[in-house]
Amino acid sequence: MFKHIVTIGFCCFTITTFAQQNKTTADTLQAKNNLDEVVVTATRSERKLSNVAVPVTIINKKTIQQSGSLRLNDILNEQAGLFITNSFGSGLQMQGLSPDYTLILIDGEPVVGRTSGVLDLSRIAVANIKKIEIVKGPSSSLYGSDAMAGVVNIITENPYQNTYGASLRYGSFGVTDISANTTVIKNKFNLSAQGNFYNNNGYNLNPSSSAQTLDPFYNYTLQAKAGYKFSDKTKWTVNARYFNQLQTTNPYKDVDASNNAFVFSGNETTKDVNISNTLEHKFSSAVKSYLRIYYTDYQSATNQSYIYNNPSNNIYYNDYFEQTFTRLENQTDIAITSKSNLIIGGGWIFDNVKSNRYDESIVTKKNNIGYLFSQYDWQINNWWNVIAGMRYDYNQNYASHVSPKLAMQFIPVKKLKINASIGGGFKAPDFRQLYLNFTNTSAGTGYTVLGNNEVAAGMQLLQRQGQIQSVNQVFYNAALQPLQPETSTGINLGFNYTFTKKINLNINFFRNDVNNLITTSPIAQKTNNSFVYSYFNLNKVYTQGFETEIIYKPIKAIQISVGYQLLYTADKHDIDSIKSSAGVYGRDNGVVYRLTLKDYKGLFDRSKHSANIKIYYENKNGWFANLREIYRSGWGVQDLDGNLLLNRGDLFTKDFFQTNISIGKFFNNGLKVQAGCDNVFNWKDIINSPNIPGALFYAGISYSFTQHKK
Amino acid sequence: MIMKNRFLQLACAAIITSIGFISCSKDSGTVTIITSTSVNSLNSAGSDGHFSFYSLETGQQIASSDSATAKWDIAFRSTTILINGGTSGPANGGAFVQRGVTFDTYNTISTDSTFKIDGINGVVRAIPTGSGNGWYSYNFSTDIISPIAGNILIVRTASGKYAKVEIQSYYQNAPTMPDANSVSRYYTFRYVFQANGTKTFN
Repeated sequence: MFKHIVTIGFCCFTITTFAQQNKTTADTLQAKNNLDEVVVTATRSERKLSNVAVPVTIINKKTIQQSGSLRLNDILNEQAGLFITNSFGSGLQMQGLSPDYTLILIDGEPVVGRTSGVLDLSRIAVANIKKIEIVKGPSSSLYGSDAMAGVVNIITENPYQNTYGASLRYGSFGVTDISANTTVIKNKFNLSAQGNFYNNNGYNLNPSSSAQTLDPFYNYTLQAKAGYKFSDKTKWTVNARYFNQLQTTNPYKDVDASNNAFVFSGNETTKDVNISNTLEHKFSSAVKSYLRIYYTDYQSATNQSYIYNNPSNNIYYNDYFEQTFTRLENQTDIAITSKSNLIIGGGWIFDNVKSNRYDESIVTKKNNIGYLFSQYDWQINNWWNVIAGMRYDYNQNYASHVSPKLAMQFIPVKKLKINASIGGGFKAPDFRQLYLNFTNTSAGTGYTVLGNNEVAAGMQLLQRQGQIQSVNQVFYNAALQPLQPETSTGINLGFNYTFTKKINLNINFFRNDVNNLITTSPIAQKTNNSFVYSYFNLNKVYTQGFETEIIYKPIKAIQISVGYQLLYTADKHDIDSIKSSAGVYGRDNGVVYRLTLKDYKGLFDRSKHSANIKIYYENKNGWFANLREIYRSGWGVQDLDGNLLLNRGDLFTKDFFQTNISIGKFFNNGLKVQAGCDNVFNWKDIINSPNIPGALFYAGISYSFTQHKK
Repeated sequence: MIMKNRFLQLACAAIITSIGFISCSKDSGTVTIITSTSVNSLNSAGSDGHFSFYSLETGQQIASSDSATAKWDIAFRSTTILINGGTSGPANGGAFVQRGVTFDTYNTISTDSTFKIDGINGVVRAIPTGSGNGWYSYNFSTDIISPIAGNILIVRTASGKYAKVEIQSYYQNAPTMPDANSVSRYYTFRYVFQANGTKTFN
């Protein structure tokens, strides 16, 4: 059970960038050599991809569009080593670490609003973004809490020429996607705005159940970016985004404990506002400073009520969660010499959560975080670059934390680049782990979850009320200790070798050691036989392996890439238990056996092998086609023998295979048509992957007009 | 030396459903004082508030009206298992959870083993309740109770004899992979009862 919570995964290193294309088309994004692309996320400053000492993947607009991806999870799913999890929305497992440990940014500013630690990637539309940057390995030295596995940064397009465009797409399950965008440049002012509407009729994979596997929903996203250039030295940018989703729970029939039928229905609304303001000023050719103010508000409300056989108050399930996050930050870049740069920065965060999850009524919990960071980047000579960084986070609710990082790049010969980095990551305890005080009444089981700050009083109350049958003293004592941040150390060692202009090989070895993992476990059993859970720092886990990608461009019109990741994960406590004299026993097909390390399968929800093959084709006449194969070996989903760890004989999924194809044509007048199918061979696993409904067909048309600058 | 033949065991198990319990007979032809028994899907739902009482010695389910007698050895109600002793019954039964063994190879109860008895208000039980404490683990993400592999119950019966008990499933018809649709509170277990009063099972 803790292994489920502690989900840790894997990763792979992919520099997926599409290259060749038609120069005549309007929205062509020319990427000559992907190593020349500029990345900003890895060092909080613009650097060429080839000059970044940490593992970075770039996914550009063209790849996203030609792959037919609409939401962030669609495109990340196609990267070797990124695993899209499916509880509490589409989460991202990266470098062996669960969704809790990856920070998601839009233009460098964090997206908030997680459920059970998972940030649902499907909230983010990707059709019109400029690119996605993925930095793997701990990045807390720049970004603070949550950037333990890495950072995903969604970079939106900067307005640079007058354009307008629109697109329409329709596909299986009523998936409808409509987008429109425009950009206006006028002297010193520029504005781009776009809107997206997405509808999904949902589906039911289990006809014997009246509940939909996916309830129908629709959402829309409005986004605007405006800039004003006061002078060559001073620039102001504002970036605003609004997301709104409504999901309807179809009437759901069920029976209660006394076998009386009841029906409920309802809806869930999700809203997301992000507003960022950046004032950029060049004090001199060597000093540039950014002042940023960012505000984001995430709101989720579920209201479900009985519509037949209403037992009492008509409410089946009500949930309200709102997080507001306000951040004030300054970053100053100083070019000390032509070969060395210093970045210093600091900021203050007001983090508020308002929810009924912590108590019976809606309460507000607050946290304030102050931080300072600096990074020194030194090009020692033409074959050796060193980047050292450090961040200090002060936290009102728990201990402060220091996150260091050191990265180096060596270029021993022209074709070979060696990247080595070591960094610290951390994740602060979240509101739920601190303040949750929740008793589930709707499921009929009546279990209770108590956050760290609530556990002593909560247990005393339950004991006074005579609700406690037995206490797990070891876990209860652990739960009474103050929660510490989870910390990690990550090491990455990567090699990039360019054989010829046509073949590039990348391989990155990684190891992450996570300490103080916050896990949840029963601390007591109630007289009604359900459990009381709490959170405590307990486990130590590691994830290690390597990721590799070969990109081959046999001719200008074709790019072939092959990606693979090997991942090993383990909970160190499990290993100690298996090695101990008492041992751990498992059951395989009814036969009880003592585990050896060979029988131990690591953490739940991890694929040992994951791979992909992608072939992109595009010719001079604007035709494009692509084939993307994604493979993941089966992953452990359930302990069947009561030892709580994953071993031979437990429940694993079957191997995952998905084949996606897409074909289309750009016309000279800015028109584009495209059709495709995701999951051509209709792979399904109704129990373990209810997020995959089978083959999805789609067709779409788009138009884009650009007024080229003279 | 004993171990009734497996075919008989399976045959018996197949016959019995839901509230079924079963006592497979001793090896035919040989006189033995050790009995191996498999019980399939003993209902412990406790819908009338009563435990389901069971005699390891006779392999019979005992009526709840006999709960105050020494006729039963262990009793089940949902995940709780009682022994006939202490606050739970009038006899001198006791038990402990032996961890980290396989049922078939555990043949001797060591002399320093301590048999526990049920205490007041269920605060102390010979077979502790709670996930990971006794015979089962509870997975709250799947809501499944799994018997802990390698944990067996060593029971002193009402009459002061000994048995080893392995709980195999908590779900009706003992599915290999119980899921949300499985019906819980049905014990499938096997045990070996030593009738001669010694602490050995071979």
